Amino acid sequence: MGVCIVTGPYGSGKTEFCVNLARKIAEDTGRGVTIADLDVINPYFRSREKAEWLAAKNITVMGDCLDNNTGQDLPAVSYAFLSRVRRGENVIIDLAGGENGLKLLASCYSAIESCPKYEFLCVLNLFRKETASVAKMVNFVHRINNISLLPVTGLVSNGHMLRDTTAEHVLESEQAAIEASRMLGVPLGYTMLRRDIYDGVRDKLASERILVFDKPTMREDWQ
Amino acid sequence: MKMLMKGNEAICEAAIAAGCTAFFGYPITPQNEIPEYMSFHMTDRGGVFVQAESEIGAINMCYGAAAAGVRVMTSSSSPGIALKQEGISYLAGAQLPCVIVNISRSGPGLGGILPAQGDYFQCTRGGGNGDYYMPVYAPFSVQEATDLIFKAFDVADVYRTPVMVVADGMLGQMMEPVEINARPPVKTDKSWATNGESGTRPRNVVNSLNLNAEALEAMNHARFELYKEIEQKEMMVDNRVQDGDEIAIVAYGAPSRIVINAIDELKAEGINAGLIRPITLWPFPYDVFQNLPKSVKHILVCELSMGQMIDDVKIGVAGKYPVNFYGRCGGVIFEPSEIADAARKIVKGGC
Repeated sequence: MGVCIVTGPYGSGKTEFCVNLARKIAEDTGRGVTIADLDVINPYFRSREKAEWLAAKNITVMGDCLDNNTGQDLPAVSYAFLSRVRRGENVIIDLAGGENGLKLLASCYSAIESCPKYEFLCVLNLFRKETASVAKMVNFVHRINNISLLPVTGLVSNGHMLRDTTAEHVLESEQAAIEASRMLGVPLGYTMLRRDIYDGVRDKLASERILVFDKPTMREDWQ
Repeated sequence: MKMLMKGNEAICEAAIAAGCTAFFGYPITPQNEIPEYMSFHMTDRGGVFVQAESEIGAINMCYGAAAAGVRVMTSSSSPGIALKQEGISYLAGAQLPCVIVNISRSGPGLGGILPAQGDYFQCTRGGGNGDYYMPVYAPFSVQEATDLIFKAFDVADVYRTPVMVVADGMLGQMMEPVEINARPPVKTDKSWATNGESGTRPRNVVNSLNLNAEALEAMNHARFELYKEIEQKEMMVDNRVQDGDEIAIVAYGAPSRIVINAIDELKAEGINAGLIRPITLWPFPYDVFQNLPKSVKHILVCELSMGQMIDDVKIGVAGKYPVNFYGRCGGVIFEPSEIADAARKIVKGGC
């Protein structure tokens, strides 16, 4: 896989996507995966919260340089993951939401650009305000491309309403993402959805790559 | 239509829909999305947004806007709310409507950025000086938070009082599907407002200073008459205790959802438990504890603190039942299994 950078608006499900993608790649390849948690904006629901649990699945979370302290209010970003990028290992870069999250990417631009293979994915959910229509999805990707040195290379449709998610939500969001992908000239990289919904809609999904998960990793059962 | 929203964003959308036209705030984790969202959306919709020089500046700007008769809101998190206490006391003294949102974190002092409920005393006992209370709403879901924002603005206007909505950091940061159930603001007479119409009526002065002892006492009495009315009309509780339940578990805010899961766990093994969830922390639903089914033998209070609401529960219980406590603090969140363990011990131990 190489390097996969993941962006998207706040709350689009970037971290959930990163964690699920890491699990799939670790399972499929039998090789370790690194998640670089570069979320310097939101102090809650960061992938470093699940570092211990993911370590058992051959996934290393590299968050801040203070031992993945979840109560840390300061960014204290660690760029230690860049040595893994340079070595060509599987690294998923989990950015913070929106344009502000991209700022950290500038620091690792040269390392990533020199990678033989990288993807820059944008996670979109039709049921979040910032990407609530095809036009808004397109506009968001334009905003990212305008300030990012690397252009977005693929979209991820993550249509959901948490526990209230239905097959319609998934399909409607995917349709919108396909339309946005056509307008942007950027392929639909993935569609992500829960397994119980997947079983009912697998024939109707258009995306070539489907990421299926059993239950959300970043939310506790009671949440 | 339902949208997926973060607690902090949903609170802003609800406030704007409720007719809030002025917001003054200052950054602090975990409520930063509120001033950020307001900075984007307030001015778009004809309102005013100021990032004040401090929390104290922000609450005093609220005083000014409220005195001018507009719907105004500020937000902060625990240590920032502590800084606002003088202003809240002034708002109460001057009888000004204002909504204050506390997305609480762990303390004391600067504490930490993770969720906690150690601000119960601060919000229900008046963190500022003098004889006053303010209605305090404690939602347990993002949807309820938005619904209570509408309520908070109405109650503030009707009784001319500051009103607090307290939600811990979890709820502020958590995403849920939400529908903003907008409703027209309740109409109240704001002829007391200092809105520059002195040519047409006697001059209005809004002040909490009153150097005449008898007059100040009379004002306090009049305000406490209003508090009685608030206690009678505005108290809200989600009481799920049923006949047959052995133990009542009391919790408020997002942690009550953990208790709901613990109750399911207990029921599965034959221990009947029911939740009592105060929605208004002031006025507190004391009466609920005098009218529990006969089957209830034990009370367990669960808080993300060292135990603060437990004092109100004890007042309500008035010695009728033993009152037990289970809490975590510092930003540590209890698991459903911890609550179930605590309840199991109490029921089996028969204490």
